[in-house]
Amino acid sequence: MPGPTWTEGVDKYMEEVAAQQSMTPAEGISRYFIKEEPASIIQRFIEVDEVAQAVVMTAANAAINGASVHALIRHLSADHRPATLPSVLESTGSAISALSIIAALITGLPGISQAQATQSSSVAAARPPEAERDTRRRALALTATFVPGLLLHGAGHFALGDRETALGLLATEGLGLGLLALGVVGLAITGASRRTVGPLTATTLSGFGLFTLSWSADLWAAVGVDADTSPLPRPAWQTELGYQHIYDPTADYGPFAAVAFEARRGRWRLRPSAWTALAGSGTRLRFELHRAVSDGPSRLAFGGAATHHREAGFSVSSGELTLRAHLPAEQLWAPLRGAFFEVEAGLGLELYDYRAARSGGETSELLLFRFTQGARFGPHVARLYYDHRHDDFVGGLKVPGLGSGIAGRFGLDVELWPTARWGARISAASGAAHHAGLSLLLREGPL
Amino acid sequence: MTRVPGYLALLVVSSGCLNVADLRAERDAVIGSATANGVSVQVQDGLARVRVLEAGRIELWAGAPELVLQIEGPGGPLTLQIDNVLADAELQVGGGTQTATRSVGARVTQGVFELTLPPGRTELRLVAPDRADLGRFRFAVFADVQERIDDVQDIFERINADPSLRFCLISGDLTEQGSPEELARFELELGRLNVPCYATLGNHELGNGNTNFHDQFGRGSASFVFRGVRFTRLDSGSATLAPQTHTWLDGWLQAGGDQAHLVMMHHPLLDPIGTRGGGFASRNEAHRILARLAAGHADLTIYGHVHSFYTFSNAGIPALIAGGGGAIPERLDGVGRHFVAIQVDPQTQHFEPALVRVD
Repeated sequence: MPGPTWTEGVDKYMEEVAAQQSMTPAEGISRYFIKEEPASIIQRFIEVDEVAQAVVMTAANAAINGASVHALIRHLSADHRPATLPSVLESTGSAISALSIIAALITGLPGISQAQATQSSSVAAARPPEAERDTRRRALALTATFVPGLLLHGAGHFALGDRETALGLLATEGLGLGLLALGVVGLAITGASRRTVGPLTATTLSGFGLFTLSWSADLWAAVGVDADTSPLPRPAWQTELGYQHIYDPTADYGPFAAVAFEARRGRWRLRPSAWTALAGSGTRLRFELHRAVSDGPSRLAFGGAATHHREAGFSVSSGELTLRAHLPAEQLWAPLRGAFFEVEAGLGLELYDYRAARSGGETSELLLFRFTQGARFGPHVARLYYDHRHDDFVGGLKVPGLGSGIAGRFGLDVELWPTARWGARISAASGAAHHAGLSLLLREGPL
Repeated sequence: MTRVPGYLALLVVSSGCLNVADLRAERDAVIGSATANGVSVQVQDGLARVRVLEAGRIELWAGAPELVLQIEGPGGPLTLQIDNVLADAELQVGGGTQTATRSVGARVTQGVFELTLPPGRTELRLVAPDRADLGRFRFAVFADVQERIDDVQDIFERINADPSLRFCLISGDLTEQGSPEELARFELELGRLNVPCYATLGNHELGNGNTNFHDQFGRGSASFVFRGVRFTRLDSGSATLAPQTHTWLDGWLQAGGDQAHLVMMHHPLLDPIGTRGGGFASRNEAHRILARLAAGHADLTIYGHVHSFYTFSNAGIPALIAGGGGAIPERLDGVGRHFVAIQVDPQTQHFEPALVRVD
């Protein structure tokens, strides 16, 4: 079959799909080709008669080699990534030239073939190759994600011709800025009152999260990552053994050995872990337990964690309750295939014990808020995150000027899986301390 | 995976530096030393900033009620002007053998002394007449004036109205941005006070440069003893202490082990409202400092940054926040603008704070 063909069944199917999405059949067809058949050169369904003509024409000449036709078409449609209407139209010039060559091959008329090939060559010489144009388009989109994209999120998608996603990202940015303004103004009006600071800080962080995620999502598509869209594997168990290094100029430790074990059973997930300093004093034991509320590509889970952190002179024991959400980005915006968002929010309570203290039992609350943009690259997974925590080995960011002490930390976590069972984790984070780590991973179970 | 380096670069750009306070600690270390025209001045422990050093004239801004100065030069007549001094402070020359004449300055807290120095090195001591009295005394604490510089005068009037207050401590955020002009204006307003003020800086002194505060008022971190009580102030304006300041603190804690010891800084080590997170950038660093304060027998910790009045306990050490200087007040707390008057008993090492409402 040369391509998607208009049949009675397709006619009925497209009508149903268009009705479900509140579109006209023509809009539905247009959207179908943009989203699902970006490599189609003609961007329409082939009529049955046209298929018949192609069959007759091919069958009439025994010299036609199907393999060469197939190879040429593959060459023309080398870009399998999501394409947009302008990009398709842009490639039409090359497509026309290619069709001329195909026609010459098919007709087998050396004279015409030679003449058209010459014409095609001159046209092709006048236009840069498709790959080069794609690179330029991506470069333009990438530039647009910074200028004006840092202010107008979605500019990268707009440059790629995807107005729908661009507007969605812009709206998300607007919502983020709105929440951010609401939170900041609320904090200013109340003077960060002890009675309202928790919800207002959470509102501010939500706004900041939406603002940064809408920009990074724009960047994601602009760089044109060929990402995996399958759900993240959830092995029955996974172990982790690694070396972690903390650079904190106010601490006596640096290198750590870390071990973790993660087990899943049904909707439950259990993860005990331990860090111990190889030089200096520092130990952290942590026990996490979560239960999925909903399952599938989008997941919601609630759970808790208990942590005991000990250094020379003090220890901190804490309990946390959190809600976690995992959302594949393509469920919001189809072009963001392979990316995903994660948000975790909750509250914690810390109990402090100082060895030399005249009294003990002091406590303090923790506002927990973490948002992540992640992506799959084949079997590998990368996560870039902001975590509002100020505790633990990394703490919150130190920044010059007025703003120190407010922000949490940024981090990157990459899982590499060269085999199905064995992998490695590279971790990095920056707050009041810098963290870099490398761990060996072993997993078993449904992957 | 080819995109990962880009995200790494983004992380690096987004992340902060760890040495945000180091430059100020380096500056602290050289405060109080100056040499010009063959004359050198050395203020012990950096407790005064040398503002003017020229032939026959030296001007200092004091960072403590009592100072020890070493002046070395060819000798001759000298006008020594020390701003921010106790109204009754005296200047002893040559190890206390004689007292210099103090003339009336432009402010009550300005001491102008006319001296004739011998060639070589001379030691001068600025002393309080009640320095040997180990009885109770009182002082005031406030912070977070920021944009309300035009309203701070009523706080000063209330402080002036209580003659038992020997001096003031300011736990940071004197100004909105910390520009030289704002700091100069703050100093001008301090001229209304009848007592000197010893301040550390807050994050709002860092909006217009890193060391403007030092140029105006000297060290951000320093420690002095008055009437048997040690007063230590730390530069936590970046929600951290520089590693050098950690080292200084250890020394001051060791030196103050047998004394009543007050430790003051701007950012609370731990915000008493944990969900607000107005404390140090790293809670672990805060715990390390608190563990050392507890081991070093600190008796009171004083903070600012939060615009209200709190009393609480950290590592078993009594703590208070006195952030009522005027900047956007915390609502729904029933406090308002204020300062805190503290009575200390050097014998029992007990501090007794009292909230003084100004609004």
